[in-house]
Amino acid sequence: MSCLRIDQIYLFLEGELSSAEVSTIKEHLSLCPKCKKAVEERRMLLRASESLPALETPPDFTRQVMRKIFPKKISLHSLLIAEAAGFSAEALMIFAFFLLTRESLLSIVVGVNHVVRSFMLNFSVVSAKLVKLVYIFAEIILLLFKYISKGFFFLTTVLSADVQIVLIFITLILSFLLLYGVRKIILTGEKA
Amino acid sequence: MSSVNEDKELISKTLKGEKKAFEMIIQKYQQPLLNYVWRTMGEREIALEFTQEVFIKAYYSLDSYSPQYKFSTWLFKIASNTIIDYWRKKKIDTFSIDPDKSKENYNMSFQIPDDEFSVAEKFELSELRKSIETALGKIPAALRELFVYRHINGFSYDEIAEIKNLPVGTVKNRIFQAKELIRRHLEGKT
Repeated sequence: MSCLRIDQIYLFLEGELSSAEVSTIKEHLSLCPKCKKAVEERRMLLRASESLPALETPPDFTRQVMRKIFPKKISLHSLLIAEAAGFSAEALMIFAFFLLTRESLLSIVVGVNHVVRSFMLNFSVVSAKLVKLVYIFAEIILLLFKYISKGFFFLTTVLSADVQIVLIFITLILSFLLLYGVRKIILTGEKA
Repeated sequence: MSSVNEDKELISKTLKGEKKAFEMIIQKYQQPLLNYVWRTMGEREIALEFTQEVFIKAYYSLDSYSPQYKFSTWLFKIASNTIIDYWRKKKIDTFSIDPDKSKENYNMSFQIPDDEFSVAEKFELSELRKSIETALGKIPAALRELFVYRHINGFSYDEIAEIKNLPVGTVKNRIFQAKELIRRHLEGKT
């Protein structure tokens, strides 16, 4: 048999040849140091290639894929809880406002209305410019609200309903304590 | 239960709406698939993104899967097509998908040269692995893909031919070219 071809060597090493071909090659290798060396060289190359370290997937890979296939939907139950929490927050804020100012919300609205009306009558030219300013301000507020709602929507897709309730509850307590603290500071100032 | 039967059962359960079954498919194939995509493309972040995309594509086309083929072959075919689409967009040579357009043979000799470079003398096994990783990034993308299928993912030549829709002889010849090109890089001739 003549010397081995390189492609034949690879097929031999990978077990792709018939038993008859393997026997012939083995016989040749026992007689030909050049081919034997070429076989050993490629055996090492294959061994190194086939033992390259495996690349590990991140631990949350499966969860990430599953979340993309089955995105979390907000259930009616969670939506109702969020609505209820929102109303409670508003009620608590009105109560906190009352605690802080000792004024009813209605009297404040009437007072503000009176001030605005007299202002509009006396300063109609200035007020026209102010309308423009208010319009710009409203645009900024709307943009801010848009990002807040986006952030809130993101949080509701990431956090479970239970965690959302706990967070809303903590926020309410903190707001209430903050307002109570402010009132105390104001009252202390009045006494002094 | 054999791997093929296990796959069939998991697919059947997934098609009936059992999410857990598809989760098991992801867990079973994520590592070999990531290894293939990563070694073929060379970038970790892109590879992770592509591997996720392959599973998502597989899920949404699962009802078109024919059980006469091995699931792994079908899944890797999706992966290969995803990579080729990317290469086409990036204008990277994808000649392997069209054998008639392949004009290069890199002047491969089938004969053993008298003064052959010795891998064993130049490198320890661990050094050799690192050098192969570097050399892999230097050979043509289409040859690299076939090499990865064969020598990293351990697919048979027949399976690779089925995945790539190429004749077995062409697959063997290209993987031979890939190996010898890697040897040339190790030798420092290219």
